[in-house]
Amino acid sequence: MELNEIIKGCQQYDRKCQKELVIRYTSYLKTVCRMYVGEEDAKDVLQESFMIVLTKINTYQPTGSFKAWMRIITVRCSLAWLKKKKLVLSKEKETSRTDCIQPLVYEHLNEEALISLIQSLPESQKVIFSLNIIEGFSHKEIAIMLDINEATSRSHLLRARKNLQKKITLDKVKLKNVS
Amino acid sequence: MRWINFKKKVKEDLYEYESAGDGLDIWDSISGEVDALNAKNKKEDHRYLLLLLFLIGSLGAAYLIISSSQDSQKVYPEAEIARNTKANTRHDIEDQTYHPRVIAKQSISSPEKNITDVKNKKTIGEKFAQIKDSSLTLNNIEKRNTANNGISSITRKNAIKGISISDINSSSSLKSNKKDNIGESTEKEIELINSKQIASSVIKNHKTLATDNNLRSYTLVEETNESTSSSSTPTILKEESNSISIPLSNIASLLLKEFKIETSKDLPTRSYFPDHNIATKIKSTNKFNIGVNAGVFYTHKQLTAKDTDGSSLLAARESTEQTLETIRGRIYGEYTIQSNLSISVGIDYTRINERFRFVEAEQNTQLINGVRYIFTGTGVNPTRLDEIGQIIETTTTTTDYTLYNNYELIDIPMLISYKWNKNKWSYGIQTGVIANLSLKGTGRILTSETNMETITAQDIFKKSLGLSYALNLVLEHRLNNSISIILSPSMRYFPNSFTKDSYSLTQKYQLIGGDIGMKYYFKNNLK
Repeated sequence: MELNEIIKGCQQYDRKCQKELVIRYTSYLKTVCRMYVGEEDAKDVLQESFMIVLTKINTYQPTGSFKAWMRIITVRCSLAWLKKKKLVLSKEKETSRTDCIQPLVYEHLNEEALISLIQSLPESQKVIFSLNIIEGFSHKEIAIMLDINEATSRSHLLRARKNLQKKITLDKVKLKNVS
Repeated sequence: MRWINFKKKVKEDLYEYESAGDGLDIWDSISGEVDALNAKNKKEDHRYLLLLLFLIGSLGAAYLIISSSQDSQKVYPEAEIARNTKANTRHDIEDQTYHPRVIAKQSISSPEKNITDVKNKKTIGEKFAQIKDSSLTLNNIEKRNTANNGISSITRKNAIKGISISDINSSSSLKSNKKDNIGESTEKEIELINSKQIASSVIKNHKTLATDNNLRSYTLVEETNESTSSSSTPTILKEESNSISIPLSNIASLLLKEFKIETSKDLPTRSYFPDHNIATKIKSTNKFNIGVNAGVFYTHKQLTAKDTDGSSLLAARESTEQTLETIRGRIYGEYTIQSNLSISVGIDYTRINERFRFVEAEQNTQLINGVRYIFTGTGVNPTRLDEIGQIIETTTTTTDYTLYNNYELIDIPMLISYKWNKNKWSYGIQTGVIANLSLKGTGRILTSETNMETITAQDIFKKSLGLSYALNLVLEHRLNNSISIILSPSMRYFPNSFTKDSYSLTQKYQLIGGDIGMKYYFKNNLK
């Protein structure tokens, strides 16, 4: 079934098309959820995201990418979920500079390993890293979305960067030791 | 730069990455909610459709009202007048196909020509002299005899074109009968009635009017000048600025009255009017009637849970409540704006009946004196220990309730109907809103899965429902001039829930059924 047919069917509340939509995009959107809320809550957030997608599908404008539209909904659902869980973002400033990550160190990382790395970050850093690096939001946009200062967003990203560097280096050492 | 490269790698790798996930599992989890969403949206669509239909109906009705009011204000289009006039002046009257309506102007618009065409013949001057002390003129009847009061009569062979009566105000009989018609010197419409019987009646009794199959119209013209009745030449009638027109039936009745003809014998009843529809239209214009209806409806009830907490109560209520029939009584008054269009307002009593079946289990425990045997050990000879004292006895009482609940509504229906008349039958469509004044529920319903309570004690129903919509088809048969019977398939849609907002369920109804009824038409104002 073509995507246009699925969208049209969903807009007419066709159950078959709705089912097809959910099955087709579960894997794609699950990745998004995993990066924000972790493995445990990913399924719940994904369900909520799909319900919002199916409820609001009549507002979708075909001028943009449907996948991107769903992705944004999923991101916002994930953030709302985190808000429910009272995510507190620290406002302290990061002043120290971190070293560069050596290319050879992260080249071996596959997608699952990268996701694991991101998930291992503290929640606030994980969210800001995902929003900035993967979704491409600016610090200004992130600040508005999360109701924080831009500086806070930057500091969390720096911390995430530092933490990732440490973890990747540590993993490399572990890998070396294993080999 | 290296951080940039890392960011790029993360974005490229993860943006389109698809994690292992079971879509079917997710679908199974949300399918219930999706079904509820679909049902809600489809219901809303249905609701919008009904609202749209109602709006279209209302707009159509408004348009008809406006257009009908405009039609009633204009007498006849000038084009029609001209056409009829032209036809009368050019051709022999016998050859003409007459327009169903003729106006007063028509007969006198070209009096010279009409009179020139006249070949004949007889006069009714003498007879009409009895009617009028002043001048009376029969237009298009050859003036044969003259009367000292100034009547001019013109007859034509096999065709009576019109009757002009001057000084009509001086006629006491005419005044008394048709004061409204002739009080003003303005032009009014005349209905053409092709009535052989009337013509025959007049002719038979007075032997002056030609036996004419083409008796078409009569015109009453108030003359402004002195009559030229003494002349044997055809009378040239005056300008029609002061002419007035009245329906033939009135002229006929006036004539017959003056000639003392027993109308019961000679005048045909309305049902013999060749163009019955015209008579019906005249009769039904600007008319008020009252009616009474009684109906039975199939009841469709919609119980829905507002949230997941109400789903268990929803299931319990659905299993215990069964809708039965709904009955309705209505008294209303109807005002006919135009022959096809009418509005009605009345009062409704509606009772929605339901059956409530519930098996209530009640457990009572009490302490009684007794002996309890306790066996210990295994094998064929266990040790028995007897305890004497108070033991707990549990008694379970089940009661099977079959009760009848009902919801009584008092409403004010405000309906507009458009109908088509065909002889004694008329059929049409009726739509409008029904404003609820009060809602009262009696009986019992569940408060939880295991308990029930009276409706009044729960206080979950609204006192008033607001507006609901009605759509009816109407089939009406006129038994006589005053009474008709009605059959009306109907539906009623309640957009609002019967329950209060604080209650966890919404309860809505749709009624589909029909009414039968009777209508009484008050004395019509046939003019």
